[in-house]
Amino acid sequence: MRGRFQHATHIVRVATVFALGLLAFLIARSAATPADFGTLGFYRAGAIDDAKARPLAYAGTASCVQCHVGKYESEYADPAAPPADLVKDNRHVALRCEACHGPLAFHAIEQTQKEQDKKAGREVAEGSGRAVPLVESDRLCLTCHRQVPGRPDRHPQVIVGDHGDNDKCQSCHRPHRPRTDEDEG
Amino acid sequence: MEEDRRTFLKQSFRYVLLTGAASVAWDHILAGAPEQAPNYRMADHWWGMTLDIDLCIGSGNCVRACKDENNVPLGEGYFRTWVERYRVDPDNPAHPLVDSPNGGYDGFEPIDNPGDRMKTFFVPKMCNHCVESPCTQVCPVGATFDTPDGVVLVDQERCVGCRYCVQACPYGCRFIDPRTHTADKCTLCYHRITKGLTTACAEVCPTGARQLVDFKNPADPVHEFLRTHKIHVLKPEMATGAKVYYNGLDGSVR
Repeated sequence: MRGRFQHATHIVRVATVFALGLLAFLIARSAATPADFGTLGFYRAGAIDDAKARPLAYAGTASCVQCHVGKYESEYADPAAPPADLVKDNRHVALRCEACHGPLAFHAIEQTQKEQDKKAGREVAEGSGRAVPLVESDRLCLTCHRQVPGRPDRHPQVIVGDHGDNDKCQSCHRPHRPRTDEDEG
Repeated sequence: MEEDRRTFLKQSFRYVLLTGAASVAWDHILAGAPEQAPNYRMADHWWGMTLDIDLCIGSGNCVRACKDENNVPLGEGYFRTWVERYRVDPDNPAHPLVDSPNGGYDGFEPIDNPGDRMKTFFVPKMCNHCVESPCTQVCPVGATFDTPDGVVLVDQERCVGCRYCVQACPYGCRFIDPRTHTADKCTLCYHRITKGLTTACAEVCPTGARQLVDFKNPADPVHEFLRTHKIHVLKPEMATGAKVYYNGLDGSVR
């Protein structure tokens, strides 16, 4: 008499192949998936730390004033001028230092390291030798102050060739205190 | 006396510019040990940005700073943030003229024949760090995601460069980095904001048109700003939950 499960071996074979296949898939998947994948969502949680780990280019004004406050205008050492006050004298006070001076985190980190070495009596490291770049005048001034359609009317703007006899901007305006004597009235 | 004045100014500037915790963290960063800085807790923050069209002068400082800070490839087509100039004919507001030479990286030139009738203004653009980001939903390998503090990031290790996300973003904020062949986009300077600093673009903005905001911080001026200004987001009809809020955004802006 033929049983109901006479051909069961076929099913068992197919089921075994499927089971092995599934097992192989699960092993391969767990090997290929990073351990922290899925702990916070459908992504690798470590990617957040990767994003945090980037080096800084801009140090932020808070770190500039750690050293430069009160002497940021030394290049205009003029005994007749009142002492530079970062807030009172500076019409450009809304600007952060690096808006004009460029990205200087490397400088802040290097100088801090040097000072710490000095304090600890260690040998002061040479540093990268990267110079703090000079601020390019005129062109820099004009990125904000050239008259361009779209700039709000209240923003001070000049038409190039039609203002100040084509002299260098700095022959009349000092970048940190841009108001001229004429403006002061 | 001189020393006292300097110390006082130093301290007051730190407190004005950095919150208390951030200024402690900054000491550690300068000392070269950021990992010892007080732990940043993602649950305490919900990041976004405000952009003020009325203040933007199109200097392009943000575009340049972003490329410096984040090592973005130079050249047309690779921007984490860029600035557009809109010129709108009041009689035909549906068809504005838009220019964005090199994304505003080199600044903007005067227009030869501007036309007196045209309404002209600048619109800075960037990733909107959406709450319901279409770009993160389409990623087949889990390489882009929203962090618990509301920032959309790309996992450069997992990205296979399939470009689905580039197409999915309604704001055109993503590009494929030609060096790595992976998707790249604004991270809201995640490496800066988690250390208590502001983003590079907001740091260098000459008029303060760009402000990083933390919606979970009750002391953040953003709450007052949103209440007292006429605020809009880009493409609200896309229901992306954009967290970049514009003040003075004209209806002609796409």
